[in-house]
Amino acid sequence: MNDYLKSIPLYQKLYGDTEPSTFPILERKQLTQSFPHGWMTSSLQDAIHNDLVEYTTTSGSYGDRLQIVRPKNWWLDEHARAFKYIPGLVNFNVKRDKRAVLSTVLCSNTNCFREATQYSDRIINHTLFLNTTPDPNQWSETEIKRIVEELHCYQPFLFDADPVYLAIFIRKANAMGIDLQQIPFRCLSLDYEFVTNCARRYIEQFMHTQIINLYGTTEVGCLFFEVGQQFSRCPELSQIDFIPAVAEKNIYEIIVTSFKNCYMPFIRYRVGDLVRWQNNQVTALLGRAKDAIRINNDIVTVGEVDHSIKEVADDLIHYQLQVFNNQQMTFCYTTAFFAKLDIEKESILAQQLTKLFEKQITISVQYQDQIAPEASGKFALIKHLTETTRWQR
Amino acid sequence: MATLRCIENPWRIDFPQLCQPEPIIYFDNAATTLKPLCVTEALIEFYTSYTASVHRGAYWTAEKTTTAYETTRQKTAAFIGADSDEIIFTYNCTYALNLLAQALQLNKDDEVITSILEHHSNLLPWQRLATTRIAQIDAQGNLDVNHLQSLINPRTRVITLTYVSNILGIIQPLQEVIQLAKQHGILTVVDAAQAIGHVPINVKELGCDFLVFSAHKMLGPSGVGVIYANRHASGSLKPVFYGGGMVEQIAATGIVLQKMPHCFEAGTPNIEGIIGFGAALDYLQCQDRLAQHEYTQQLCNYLIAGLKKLDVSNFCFAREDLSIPIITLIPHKKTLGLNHICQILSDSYNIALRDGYHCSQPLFNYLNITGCLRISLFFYNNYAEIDHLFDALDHMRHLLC
Repeated sequence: MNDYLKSIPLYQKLYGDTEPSTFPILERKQLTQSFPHGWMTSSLQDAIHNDLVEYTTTSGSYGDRLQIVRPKNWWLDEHARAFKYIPGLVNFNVKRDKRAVLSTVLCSNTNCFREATQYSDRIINHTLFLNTTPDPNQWSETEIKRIVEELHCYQPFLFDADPVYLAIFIRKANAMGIDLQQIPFRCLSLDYEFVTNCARRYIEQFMHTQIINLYGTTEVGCLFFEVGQQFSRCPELSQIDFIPAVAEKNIYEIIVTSFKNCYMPFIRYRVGDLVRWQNNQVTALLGRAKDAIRINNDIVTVGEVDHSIKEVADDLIHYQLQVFNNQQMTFCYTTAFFAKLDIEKESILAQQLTKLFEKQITISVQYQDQIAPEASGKFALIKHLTETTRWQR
Repeated sequence: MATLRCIENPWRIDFPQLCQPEPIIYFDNAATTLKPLCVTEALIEFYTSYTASVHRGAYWTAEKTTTAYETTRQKTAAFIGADSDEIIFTYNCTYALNLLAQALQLNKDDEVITSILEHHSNLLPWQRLATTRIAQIDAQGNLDVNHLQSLINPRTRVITLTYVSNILGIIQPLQEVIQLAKQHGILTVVDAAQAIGHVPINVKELGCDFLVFSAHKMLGPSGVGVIYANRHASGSLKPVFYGGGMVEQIAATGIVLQKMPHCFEAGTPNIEGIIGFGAALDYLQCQDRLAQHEYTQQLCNYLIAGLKKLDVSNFCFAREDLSIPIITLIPHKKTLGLNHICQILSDSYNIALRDGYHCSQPLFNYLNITGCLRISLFFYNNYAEIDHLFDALDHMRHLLC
């Protein structure tokens, strides 16, 4: 393996003859400008010439977009590697059992083009990609009906959903009087974005099944899963190091070494996410490092914001904390019942957040009918605003 | 791959974007052009010194604004050899074509001849209102004038054609068609969106009735379109939009419209855009445009020669002598999507190319291809940028062929 790593032009350029075990942390910036030449080994050349590869990109929501080349049908293999460790999915056969995905169009776009709106065109490798609309807030009643009908028709074993997309879907379907209990699937996984407590609680009200929270990335695949508040690893072909971000709060950054993609092995790669790491195990996912709010020498993570409001608002389904110059914040939220919370609940929300930031910040709370996704289709739970972006909606 | 040419490009310094550290290598000039500093300065000056509406106020900033606005009309007219009352400002070229199609009051019994080369903007507005006939092209990508002639009949009211296709870049033989149209008493519309930044145009010599283009493809701001309406032909136009600024008098018996061109400019126009466009026209008039043209042609020939040598793609069409610097390509290997190729060129090599149908699906259907890569140059591009593209494509060779 060492010789193979050394044959990769990018590593050769970055580290010369350094032993892979002592490579410094690999930053995304070092990867974004190195495609494809940085990875062009003779084995990749052969694979390209023999049409054994597929191309994709990361969504760009974690940082710069990353180009990826990998063996064809890589996700099938990755799911096979990961699912054997996940209760409820142990018997899932990726080459036989059906999966339906409700996620961003961009994410679906790497597998099937958005233009392919026909049901049959959106089934690829036993996976039905349900969404064809860039912003789920814009789903019409016709779209919701179509998604429900397609789920009934396809009858997936696994329904794999972005939690915000699923919450919006449920909210709309519920308003239309659609009985979601009847949707036929055996297992529900939440994937693609940070799973907030409010979204999860809302989903649980309507989907009476065990929920698996999958954590991974496009470039390194599945890393963790959570069932019943217990986090476990999907360990194959990857190793994770935890480096302290704020050690006294047990907040650590995830550093991944992954050989899952033989053409682009990542060695000590900074994924860009934070976790709480205690007693040699992950106890909470805390979201993206770049989203965390830095005040003085402290940071407040997405996970901590989410935890602080956990017990407050049963009726929230989604929110966004807008931060202006780390001094003013607006907590925007949507509810299941399409109306604002009563003043008492709003005031508790503001108090909880103020407590989290130790009163250093002015926080206002604002109901919104809907919160817009970012360009990638994913949603920012914490959004840092500048003077220019502050007034853009 | 190729050695960097040390040829100074004297125009680059005028474009602030090109003076940034590591500017993107911009090869999407057929979509829009970069803006010289004088255009930005004109906009800033308007915003910071004399913001006011046009044609309305008697205070000095309003008068200054009106003067700057109307002076741009004169400059625009001079740029294409027209008179200033033949220039109507709109919001873009698409808007201009829609306005023309509606102002001509066509109906489904009327026939409009257009061509397979057209941008959707010069097809859909006509298709919506009238019956369209599509002229074909020959093997070299030139308009088939004989075929076009065969489409003319007594119901033909308009022939509307692009001067230069945004895919092929070939300058079309429009004078011949316009003469033909005149013999049959048919109105002619020229879509000069691509031509205006590259081809010297004199509407009187060309002889067309109408000609449309947009400012942003010739260094001006976005949001400004132009209709040249020949004084004689403009009588066949009826205003489409009604409101402030286009009416002389409203009486119990009816309304008296303003004269051309104001009767077609209802509402507050894009004043700052038009003033910025005036600065772009000033800039262009001060340049040695022949030198710019020759330089760009040489650059384009260098690009073509290098692409042939690299041999990672096919050209959609052979380049004719009378062409503007637009090159369209299809990689030898089809497994990597065109959009993905552009993403890699952007992310890894900081190069802006365009992929897709370029709003010209009829032409792609005709050529039986599903999109292409487009490289379009302007006079501020240089040899070093093209060498960088060659290096990038060479790096990507295994993905492309």
